[in-house]
Amino acid sequence: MSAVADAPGAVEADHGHHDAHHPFQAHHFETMEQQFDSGKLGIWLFLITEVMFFSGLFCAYAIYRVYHPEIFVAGHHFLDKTLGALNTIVLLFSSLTMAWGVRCAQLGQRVGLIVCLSLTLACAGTFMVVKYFEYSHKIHLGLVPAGYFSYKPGDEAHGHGDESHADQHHSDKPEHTGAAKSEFETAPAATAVSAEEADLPRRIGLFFSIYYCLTGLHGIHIVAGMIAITWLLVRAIRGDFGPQYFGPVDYVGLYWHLVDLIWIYLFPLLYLIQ
Amino acid sequence: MATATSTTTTPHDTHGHGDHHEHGFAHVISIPILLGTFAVLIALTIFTVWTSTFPLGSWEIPIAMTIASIKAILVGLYFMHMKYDKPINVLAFLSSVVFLALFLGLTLGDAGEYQPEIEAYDSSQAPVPPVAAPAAPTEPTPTH
Repeated sequence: MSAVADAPGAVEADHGHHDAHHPFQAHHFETMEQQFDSGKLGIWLFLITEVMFFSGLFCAYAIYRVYHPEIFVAGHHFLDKTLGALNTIVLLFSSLTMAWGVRCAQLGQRVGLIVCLSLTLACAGTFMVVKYFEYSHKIHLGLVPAGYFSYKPGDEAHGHGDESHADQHHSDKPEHTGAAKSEFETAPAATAVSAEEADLPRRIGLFFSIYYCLTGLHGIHIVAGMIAITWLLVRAIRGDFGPQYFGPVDYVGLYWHLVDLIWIYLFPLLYLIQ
Repeated sequence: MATATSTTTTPHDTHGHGDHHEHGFAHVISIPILLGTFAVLIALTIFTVWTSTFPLGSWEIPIAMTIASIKAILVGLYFMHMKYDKPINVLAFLSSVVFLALFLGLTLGDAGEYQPEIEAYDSSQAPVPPVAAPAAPTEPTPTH
């Protein structure tokens, strides 16, 4: 009853000659189906922008992979394949529970929907916890983006401070690499040059720039997805969804599958290829 | 309070989709398909990790990307419902892949044009000789 009272004109006679419409039908739609289809197109358009969003970073990856493969050969050893595979399986399972949740919403299975959404949320949390361990381990070792990279293969502290890109996003063309390097190459002459060449190629810091940008942006998307799924969970508990109105579950589900899709590509590109 | 706001749920069925009682107006995916897709995805994950244990040289990227694309297609078709969706939505999404390919392809080509300058700069610098030989520029483009 209170939900119906939300629709401001519901009591008015202008809706009287239609049947009273679904409480969650927006007034600019004729039917729930039209509302659903519109929302569906909307979320697909958003997913297109998300693909384009990530494509910038994938392009950076591609350029460095093709023209400086040595940093990937050296860098991928620092990534734990097992943790990456675990995260992949966790995300795949979360996609299953999310798709199942959409099915539950369509069939009006409120309890099933709540269970599925909760499981999806739990998987997302697991993913972020694993990611936290991965990141903290690397940061502890000094495996950080170029400019701050300070990994010590042995004991002594030698930094690759000569590439001062800070956290410059690598959607910029590599011309920046050349320009920025030349300014700072002259400065740290004494300490920075000795033990690094023993193990690691010159631009190894860039591997980690790419790694952190790609996985970090992906992680931000996971967190945003968690927020959206939490909101869905609240609404599901409230009983908002049913066979006539399940759009939000479907749309957030599509977003979540896209986040999983991106990880499906990230995992082999960063962790598996040498 | 409500005169017009009657608790009518049955008229909704006449609002156009009364033939499917349990289903609404979108295809409801079946549980076997969901579980089957998940099983294949897990199997492919295990397979791709297994193939990464072999040194396959320049084949690694194409193989890994192929497996990843198969997984992506499965997620897209079944989890994201593309198999049962309006073609316009599928077309819209695939167009993004086209632009992704354009973006990566053209940028890679452009970057290749000034690699000689970078290599000249590298060899003019002191100790580290760059291992950067742009051997076979296999595009790691994650196209569908």
